[in-house]
This record gives sequence, structure tokens and C-alpha cells, in this order.
Amino acid sequence: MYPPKFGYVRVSSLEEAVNILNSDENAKVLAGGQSLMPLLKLRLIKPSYLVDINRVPNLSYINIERDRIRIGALARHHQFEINKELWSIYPAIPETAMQIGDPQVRNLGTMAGSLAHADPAADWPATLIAFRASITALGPSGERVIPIDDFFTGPFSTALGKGEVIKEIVISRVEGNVKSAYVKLERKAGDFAVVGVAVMLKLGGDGSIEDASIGITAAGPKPFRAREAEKALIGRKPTSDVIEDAAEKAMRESNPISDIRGSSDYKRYMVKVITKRAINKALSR
Amino acid sequence: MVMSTTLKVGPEERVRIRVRVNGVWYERDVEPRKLLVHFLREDLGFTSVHVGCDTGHCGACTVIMNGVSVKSCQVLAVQADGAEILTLEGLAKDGKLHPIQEAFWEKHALQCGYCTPGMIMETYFLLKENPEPSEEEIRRGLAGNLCRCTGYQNIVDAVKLASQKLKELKMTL
Ligand SMILES: Cc1cc2nc3c(=O)[nH]c(=O)nc-3n(C[C@H](O)[C@H](O)[C@H](O)COP(=O)(O)OP(=O)(O)OC[C@H]3O[C@@H](n4cnc5c(N)ncnc54)[C@H](O)[C@@H]3O)c2cc1C
Ligand code: FES
Ligand code: FES
Repeated sequence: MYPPKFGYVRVSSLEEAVNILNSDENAKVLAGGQSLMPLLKLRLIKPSYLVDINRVPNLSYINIERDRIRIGALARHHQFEINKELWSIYPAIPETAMQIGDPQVRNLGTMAGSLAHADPAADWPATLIAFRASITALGPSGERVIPIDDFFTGPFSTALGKGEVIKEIVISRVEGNVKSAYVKLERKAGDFAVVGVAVMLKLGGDGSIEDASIGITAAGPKPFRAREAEKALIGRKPTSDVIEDAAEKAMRESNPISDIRGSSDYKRYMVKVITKRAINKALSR
Repeated sequence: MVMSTTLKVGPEERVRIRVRVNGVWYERDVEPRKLLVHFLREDLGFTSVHVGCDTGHCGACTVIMNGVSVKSCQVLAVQADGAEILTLEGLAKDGKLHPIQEAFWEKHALQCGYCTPGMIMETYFLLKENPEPSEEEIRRGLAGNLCRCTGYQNIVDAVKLASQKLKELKMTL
């Protein structure tokens, strides 16, 4: 099928993209195109212009610095998957990337595009919530930083305002013994998650959990942080009772809808199962 | 700050693009909405590039663009301006099949053949990145390519054989 007619602008800076988006509300950024193209072909959207940012220089970086990780708007899913340093420090990040779609989708799709698209079943949001990331948006009045917890406002909607684009995603590094994992339940290879849970745990010298952070996707109108589950872990030794209790709390915090991937009851129960698996997987690393 | 729009085309306009396919440069005028798959099939005649879906799920349209596999139905022709593209037509040399094609032939890795060009191009990318993949890695590597006929087993065998052939020939992709 052919997409509807639209114009095309190839920009050489994000500032230029912001100018266009600010003056034309129907213009849309084109990054990896892996969510945009199907929407266009199915004629679910009809933008005036696509603003192609793919040739903006120096936007594909994943910079692992001492105290933070900075990710450019054009870093593709595949780049995370093959990043050995990420596998050693924060395995949940490449582990998330490798479970998104399929190789062709990962070769083009970007983390920033996934966040901006805000599919309530997308994988990145869970992991970025667990890592307490923040998003640097560039808009008509300059840059602002949006904490990930405030970024998603509902299904397919975000805190990005008129003319704003994602410039960078920043993850602050946590000192100490940090463990992480992302576990995705999927019906078949390459599908969106039935539910997905990302966990980051910081262990103290005595083996107790000093800090915990849990992000959950596909289990509500937007991805969320399972705060009660986190509280059930912090300050305790991760015994099976403690983990069971945390998983139970994560389940109660979830609010999935029934759809082709399962009934809401089934998905709620899976939140518990997958939370447990994610905690155990992180601890086993 | 000086800002230069490198290219701007209205919805009713066409734009001239240059794309290098299988080693040859082509110049054509296209509408911004034209998909790369339609450009390759209809404008340039590379009919190995198949269309099997509207949602980016089947992989029949897979080609190599600037060294990585992409679904050409998920890319605009204008985005490929200046790009280097490899399609199935570019694999055989001097009338001789490429080792990956030979392996698909020998292992009977196709029935109707609709998915085959996409399978072979994704295999090309998989073996370029990982010359000796495990069975698990092969299955993961081909997760974006659907086949309605074979049940995949012979395709997996063909990828293993292709990997062996390339190694014996000391051929890098
Ligand atoms: C077959 C298939 C399977 C998939 N499976 C999964 C899966 O399992 N899990 C998953 O999470 N995703 C999946 N996806 C979606 C994929 O991850 C997309 O790559 C991603 O959702 C969008 O990223 P993109 O770079 O392709 O964005 P695009 O498609 O280019 O854009 C998506 C949206 O974000 C906007 N946008 C893009 N970049 C910016 C920016 N820098 N600033 C502001 N707005 C921006 C665009 O305007 C558009 O509205 C799948 C896609 C396909 C086709
Ligand atoms: S035609 Fe199905 S993925 Fe391109
Ligand atoms: S051989 Fe028929 S679809 Fe694969």
C-alpha cells in the first residue's frame, strides 16, 4: 500500500527540525521510521511534512561516562545490543534492545523514536524507568530535562510540547554493586510484550537490597514504576518470601487491558510471574 | 545561527535522487511518499524485492542498505538518496550463484520462493555480523522473515551450510 501524500524536509540540525515543527503542527519527525511507516501505509496518520533527522551529524552516540550514560536521538536499537560495555555494567539495556522486534527493525529503530511514539507496550520505557533516566528535549525556547516518570502521559502521548524533539536520553550511573535485568513475555518472536519488567537492584555488602527500581510495560495505559514493589525490597535481604511479596505488590499496581495478547486477569498474573523472574535474573548476575 | 535545509520537497513535487544499487548508480525523480521497495521494483526493475505485508512484519522486502539489513517497505526512497543498496540480483557473479544461494538450493530451503530473496538478504547480514552462528542465533537472526511454506527447518540448515561454504571459500561478506 502507498502512504498518503506528504512533503519531505531533510534537516541538518535539530534546531532546524524544531523551527519547522513549531511553525507547522502537522509536520512529524522521521527517525527510524519503524513505527511511522506502518502508520502511514495503513493511513492512520496524514502528516503535512516528514522532517527527516537521519542526516543530522553526531546524534548516534552512546557515551558511557563516569557518572552517566548519554544517548543521542539517533542511537539505533542494534547499537545497544552489540555494546559490550553495556552488557558488563547494565545488562538490562542491551537485553531490552535485543528483544525489540527483529533485526531489520533494530537496525533502523531508535530509542528516542520509541519513547516519542509511546506505545504502551513498548520495551524501552520499562528499562528507562528502572534506570531513572531523563529526557533532554529541545524546543523553541531551548532545552529542558524531563524525568522519565513524567514523560509518558497516556497511550501514545508524552510530555513533549509543540515544536519539541528528543535530543538526548541520560541515565545517571549508580555507584556500587548494581544488578539489572529485563524480562519480556512475548507470544512469538518479534512481537510486542504481553508484559515486560525491568529491574535494577543495588546490593549492600551484607547482601541486602539498598536500592531497587522496577519499570513495567504493557500492564497499564502507560508504562509505570512499581513503587510499592520497590519498597517491599529496599532494606531487606532478597529471600524468596521477600521477592514473592514484591511481585505480588507489582501485580496490584498494574492495570492491564484485555486484548489479543491476553485478558486483563491473565496479564495481571503475568506481571507477578515476570516481576519475580526479573528480580531473580538480576540477582543471578 | 546559519541553518541550511539540505532538501525540501512539497507533497505534490518530485525530487531527483541518486542511489547505488548492486554497484550501479541510478538517478530518478520520485515523490516523497514513494517507498524504497516500490522504487527498487517498479522504477529500477529489481523484482526480487517482494512485498508481503503492510505492517513491516514479513521481511520479504529485505535489502542491505549501507551495510545493514532493512525492510525496504519501511524506508522512503528519498531516504535512500546517496545510499549503497544490495539486492538479491547483486549476489550472483558471472552467472554463478552466491554461496548463500547455493546453500538454499542444496538444502531445499524454499517451496513457493516468495520469502526467499528476503531470507537470503537477511542471511547475508546475519553471516556478515556473525560468520558462525549457532542454531539459536540463526533462528533469532531470521525472526523478522516469515515463511508460510517450509516450516523453517531447511532454511536453518541452509544458513548453517552457507556459513560452512563461506568459511571454506575464505569469503568475507
Ligand atoms: C515489525 C515490528 C516489530 C516491532 N516490535 C517492537 C517490540 O517488540 N518492542 C518495541 O518496543 N517496539 C517494537 N517496534 C517499534 C520499534 O521499536 C520502533 O523502532 C520504535 O517504536 C520507533 O522508533 P523509530 O526510530 O523507528 O521512530 P519513527 O517511526 O521514525 O517515529 C516514531 C514516532 O516518534 C516521533 N519521533 C521520532 N524521533 C523523535 C525525536 N527525536 N523527537 C521527537 N519525536 C520523535 C516520530 O515523529 C513518530 O511520531 C516494532 C516495529 C515493527 C515494524
Ligand atoms: S513487505 Fe512485509 S516487511 Fe516489507
Ligand atoms: S517458501 Fe513459500 S513463503 Fe517461504
